[in-house]
Amino acid sequence: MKNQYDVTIVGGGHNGLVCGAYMAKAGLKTLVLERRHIVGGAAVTEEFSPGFRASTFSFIMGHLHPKVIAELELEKLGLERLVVENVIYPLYDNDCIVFTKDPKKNQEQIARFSKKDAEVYPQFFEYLSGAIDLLRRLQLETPIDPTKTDLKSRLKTAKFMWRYRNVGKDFYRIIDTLSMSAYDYVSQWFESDVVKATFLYWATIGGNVGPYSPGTAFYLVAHLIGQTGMSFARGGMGQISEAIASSGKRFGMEIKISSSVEEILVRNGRAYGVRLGSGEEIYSNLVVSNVNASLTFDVLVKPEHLPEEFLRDIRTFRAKGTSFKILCAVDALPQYAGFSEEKTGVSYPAYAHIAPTCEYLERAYDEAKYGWYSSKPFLSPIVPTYYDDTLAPAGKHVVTLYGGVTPYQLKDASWDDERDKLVKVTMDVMDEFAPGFSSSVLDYQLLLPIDIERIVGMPGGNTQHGDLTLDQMFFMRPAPGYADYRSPVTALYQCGASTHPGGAVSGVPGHNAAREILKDWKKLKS
Amino acid sequence: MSSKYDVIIVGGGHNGLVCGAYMAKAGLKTLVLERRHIVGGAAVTEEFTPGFRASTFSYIMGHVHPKVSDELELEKFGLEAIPVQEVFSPLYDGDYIIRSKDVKKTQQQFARFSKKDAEIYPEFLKYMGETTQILRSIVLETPIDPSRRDWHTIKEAAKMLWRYRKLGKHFYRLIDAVSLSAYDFVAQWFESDVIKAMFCYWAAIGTHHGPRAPGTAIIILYHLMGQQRGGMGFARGGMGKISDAIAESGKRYGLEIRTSAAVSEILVKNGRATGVVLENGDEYHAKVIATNVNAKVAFDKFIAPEHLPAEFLRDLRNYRTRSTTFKINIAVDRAPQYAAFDADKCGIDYPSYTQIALSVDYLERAADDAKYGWYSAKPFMTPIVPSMLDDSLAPSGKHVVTLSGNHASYELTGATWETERDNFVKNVMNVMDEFAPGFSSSIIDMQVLLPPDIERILGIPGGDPGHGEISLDQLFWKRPVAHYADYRSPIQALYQCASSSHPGGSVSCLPGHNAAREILKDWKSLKKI
Repeated sequence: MKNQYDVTIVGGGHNGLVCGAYMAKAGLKTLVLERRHIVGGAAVTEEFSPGFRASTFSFIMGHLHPKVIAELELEKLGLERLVVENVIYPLYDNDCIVFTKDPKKNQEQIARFSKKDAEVYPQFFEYLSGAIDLLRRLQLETPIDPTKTDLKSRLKTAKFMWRYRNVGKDFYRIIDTLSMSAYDYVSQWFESDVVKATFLYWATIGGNVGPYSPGTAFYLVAHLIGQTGMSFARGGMGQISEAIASSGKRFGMEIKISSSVEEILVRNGRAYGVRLGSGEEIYSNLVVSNVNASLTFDVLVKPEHLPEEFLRDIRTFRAKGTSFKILCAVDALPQYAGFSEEKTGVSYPAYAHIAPTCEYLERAYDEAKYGWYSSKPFLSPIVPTYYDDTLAPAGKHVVTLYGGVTPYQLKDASWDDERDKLVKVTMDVMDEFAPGFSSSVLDYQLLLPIDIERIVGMPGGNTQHGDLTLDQMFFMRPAPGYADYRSPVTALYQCGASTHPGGAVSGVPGHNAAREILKDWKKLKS
Repeated sequence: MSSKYDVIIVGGGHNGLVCGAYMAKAGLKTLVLERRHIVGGAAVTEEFTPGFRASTFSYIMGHVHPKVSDELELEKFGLEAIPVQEVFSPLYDGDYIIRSKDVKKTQQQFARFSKKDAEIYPEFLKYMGETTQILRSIVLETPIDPSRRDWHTIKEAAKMLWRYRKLGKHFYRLIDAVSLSAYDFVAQWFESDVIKAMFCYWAAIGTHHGPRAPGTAIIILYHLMGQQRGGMGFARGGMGKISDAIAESGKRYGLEIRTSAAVSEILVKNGRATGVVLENGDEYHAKVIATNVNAKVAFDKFIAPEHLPAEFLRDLRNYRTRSTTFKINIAVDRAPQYAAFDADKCGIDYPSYTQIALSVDYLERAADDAKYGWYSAKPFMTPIVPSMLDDSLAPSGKHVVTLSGNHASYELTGATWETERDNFVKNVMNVMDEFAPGFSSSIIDMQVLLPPDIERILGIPGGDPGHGEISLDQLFWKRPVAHYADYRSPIQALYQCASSSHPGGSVSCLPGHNAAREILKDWKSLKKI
C-alpha cells in the first residue's frame, strides 16, 4: 500500500537519518520526512554567497561516534575526515598560544606562561581520562528510570548498576564536573590565567553560562568525549548527512524533502502516522520524532494525548540559545598579529579561539545575563578552506565565526535594529587580533539564535538542543520517565538531540533510539 | 583533674558542644576545648559596644533540629524561641511586599503583583514542603560511599536505598534542586519579578553566587529547612543562648569544657589519634578525638602531613570555602523607619525582620561586582531589629540592628580592605538610608565583620558562614571530601563533627548529632586500647 510504512521519521536531521538507516538496515520499510529542501538539519553545507559554501551551523566532526561510522559504513559512502592540526589562542600584547596534537610541544607553549602548569598538563589529561572513558560508555546507554518500581524497570536498573560496579572514584569525578564551575575546576590544576582561559573556552561556548557558573566543568569534559579528535568533514558537515542518507538508501530507506509534518496522528493512545502541511496523511506502525521534544510534544501531538505532568516537564525544558554564527566570504586569510611560525612551530592556524583571559569570557556572559549582547564577544574563527578546497573559489576563503554571547531576546530592543551592531563589535574583535580582517570580507551571513530557530526548528536556537545541566541529562533528558527514547504515546519514539546524550553531531541519540525501537518491534508490527 | 579522657572535642562551636553532650550522655568522659573565651563558635551573643549585645554571627534559630532540641532538653536549659511571623521587603517607588506565615495574607500581598502568582503560592508551598521533608530525612543520614565495594558498604547502601524506596518521582525533584539556578527554579512557578526576587533572596544571601548561577535552587530549600518548630525565629538572649543551653545539657552528664584553650596539634601515633597539644604546651590524651574545626583547617594545621594520604589532602585543599558575606552589628538610638512602612496599611506593628532585595537583577548585579574581586555598589541585606522582640539586648529606648548581606569579596583586586572598608560601609548605609531615611544618623556605634574578620575571629576558612559552598560536589558523600563523609577520617579514632561535614552549615546541631552516633557505633572497638 502506498503511504503505509513500518516507520516514519519526522525530521531529517542527522539523528533522524541515523535512526532511519538502522531501521532500514534491519529490514523495516522506513520513510524520513524533512521540512527543508535539504536533509541534515544542523549538519548541512550550503552556499551562503555565490561561489562560497560553508557548514551553516555545526562544524566539528570529531563527535561522530566511531560505532556509527563503522556500522553504517560512512567512509565507504564518501565521508572523509580532515584532521585539524592546531588551535591558536591569540592573546593581548601580540602574543598567542598554539596547541597541536603533540603534547610535548603543548607543554613548551604552556611553559612560556607557567613552568608548573606545563608540568601538570599531562597529569590533568590522565586524571580526566577515567571520567571521559566512563562518559563514553554512558553515551551508548539507554537511560534507566530509578524511580519506577515495576519488575522490568528494577531489573534494568540492577543490570545497569552491575555494569558500572567498578566505576569507583570516577563516579566522584563526574559529580565534580557536573557541579563545579569550569574556572574552579581548572584552577585546581593550573595557575596561569592564559592557560586557564584556553580550557575555559570549551566550557562556555553554546551554554547560557559563563566559565564561573557552577556546572560548566561538564561542558569542558563533554568537549573531550568526541573520539575522533578535532576534525572537519571534507565538503563540510553536509557530507556527514549525505553519507548517512546514502547508507540508509542502500537498504531501501526513503527520504522526502520539503515535507513539513503538521501533526503526529494518535488514536487510542497510539501513534499511527503523520499529516503533512499539504494535508497528505502517511501511515506507519510507528513514528519516530527527530524534532526537539518541545516541538514534538507541544506542537505536533495534540495535548489531550499527553499527561499533564509530562507536558509541564517538557515546557520547562531549558533551551535558550546564546551563540551566534557569522559566515564570511573573504579574499585573504586572517593574519593573527600574535602569530609567528617561529614562536609556535606551525605553518598557519586555521582554527582559533579568541578569549584572551578568563574574565573576558565571563564578562561576555555578564552582558547577556541582562538581555544584551557582548560588547566584546568571544569568537571561534575557523578557516575550513585552508584544509578543504571544495568550498570557495581559488584564492578566496571561507571564515566562519562562531561566538557568544547573544541572548535569544534582547531587553527593550529588537534584534532587527541590533544585527548590524553585533556584526560591528564582532569585526572590531577580529580586527584587534587579526588586523585588516574586516576589510577582507566580501560578503557575510549572520545567524542569531532566532535565525537558527527559524531555519532549523531548534527551539530557542540552542545548539545543544537544551542546556547540558544535570537536571536535563541522562534519566531527565528531555523529561523524567521518558528518557528511554519512548514517550507517553505508544509507538511514538524520540531520536533527537533533546534525548540522551544530547547535542553535537554524534549520531548517538539516533543510534540508541533505533536499538530501543528494534527491541519493541515484534510487539509493534502486529 | 586527670588529663586522660574517653573523648576530646577540638572546638567548642555549637556542633562540638552537641557532639560532646551526646558523648557525655552516653557515659563517656568528655572534654571540649575552645580557643576563644566563650563557647558557641558562630552561635554566640556578645557585647559589641557598651550596653548593646547581639548575635555576632549567625542569627536564625529555626535550623536547630527538633530531635536534638528534645534529646538534649534544650528548652529546660533556657532556650526560648521568639517566632518571626512576617518578613517585610521595601521596594522601589515607596512600595513594599510582606511575606507572612499566614498563607492567605501572603496571597493577598502577592495578588498586588500577580494574581497568578497568588493563586499558585499554596501549590508551591506544598511542593517545597514535600521536598523539604525528604531533605529533613536525608540530613539525619550518615553519607554512604558508593565507590567502595566492601560488604559493609554494600549493606549500608542497600539499607539506605530501601529506606528511600518510596521516593519515586521526588528523586527527580532533588536533582532539579541541585542543578537548577534559583532563578530558573522560581521562574517555573512565578511570573512577577518582585516575587521571584523574594525567593531568590534566600539563595543569594550567604553565598557568593548570583541567583542565576546553576545549582543555587537547593539553597532555597536549605532556608526552608530552617523553619523547624516555630518557623524562622530568634533565640531569646541571642544565639549564644543556644550554645549555653547545649553546654549546660552536657555538663549535667559530666561534660567538661575549657575555654581559652587553643589546640595546636592533634597527636597521632601509628595511624591513630591519641590526644592533643595546646598552644601553651599542655597535652591531653583520649581514646577518641573529634574535631569541630573546619576540615580544611583541622587536617592542614593540626596534623602533620605524613599521617594523611596525599589525595585526601589534595581534595581538602580544593574544598571551596570562600565568602562574600558581611555582617554589621549596629547600636542605634531609634529603630529604622522604613519609608514604605505603614503599620495600618501593613497590618503589623513594626517590621523587625526585613529583606532588601529589589529585583532579581539587583541581586545578580551585586554578585557581579564581587566576582572580579570587589564589593557591591548596591549590596542586598537583611536588616533585623532583635531588640524589638527581646529587651535583654539593648538599653531601654535604644536598639540593636544587625545587617547581614552580600557581597564583599574576601580579597580585593588591586586594593586592600584597610583602605576600602569605609567605602564599603558607606555603600551599605546608602542603601539603608534610601529605604529607611535617616538610618545612618541614628547610629551610636557599630561592629563591621567582613569575611577576613570572620575568618580571624572564628577560624572558619574564607569566613564562609556555610563552612564550605553548598554545591553537589561538596554535599553528602563528598562533604568535605570523598570517602570521608561518614564523620570518620584517614586517621583511626579521629572523627569530624563540624559543619564541613554533612549536612553542612547553619545552627542545626546535625553534624554534631550524626558524628556522635557514628562514634558511639565504633566506641566498643575503640575503648579497648
